Amino acid sequence: MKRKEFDKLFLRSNESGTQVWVITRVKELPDAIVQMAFNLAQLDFIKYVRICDETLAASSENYPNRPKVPITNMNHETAIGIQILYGTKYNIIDFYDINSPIKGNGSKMVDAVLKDFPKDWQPAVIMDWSNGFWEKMEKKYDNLDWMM
Amino acid sequence: MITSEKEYEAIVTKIEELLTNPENIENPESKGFEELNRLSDLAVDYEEKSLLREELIKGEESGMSDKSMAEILEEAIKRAPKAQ
Repeated sequence: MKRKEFDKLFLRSNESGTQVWVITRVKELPDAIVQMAFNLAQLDFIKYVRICDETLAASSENYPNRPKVPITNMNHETAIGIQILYGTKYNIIDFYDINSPIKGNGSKMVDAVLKDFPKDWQPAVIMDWSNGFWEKMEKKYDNLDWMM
Repeated sequence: MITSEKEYEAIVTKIEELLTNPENIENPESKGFEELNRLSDLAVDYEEKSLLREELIKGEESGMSDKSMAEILEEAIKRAPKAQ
């Protein structure tokens, strides 16, 4: 999708109070990534979304001294966030970081990412420190070809 | 494009300086607003290209730094044992 099109789409989120940034250098994005970002921005607790050409991050909080850096790191006390790495060569997304101090919001973020997931893309979890969370997600979305 | 850790740190310091003036955050017409956005994009780009990549290949074989994120993902999936 071209910049003009996704800017128009994300304007709706920006007007409703969720800031969606796509770094200036990025002129085109895969439709799948735009859809994931849009779905994440619809979640009531997500306030900041940032897309680069190989990452997508969304969070309830942004670093106060760094514009465009949603907090996604695991075990943060208050921020609810997710960071995905993506590669268009193999159409892979890797769930790189996820954090939710409030039970249930982690699943909501994964649902937002996977609900319109294209058939020719694959989800992956390269480093799984979750004690069972990703096994549950794999079972829930057993129609997808997970790489874990 | 940022090419070194030193340059990255200098840009982050400059971002912090710019953030001390609310005009640079709130007024899109101000020169500082544009600069803040430009520097923030540069810093984020460096973090994506360098910091995330370093994190991703931590514990993996070296020699992957010339590969794209997609190739690193593919390699890492092949190599990484599932954490217990």
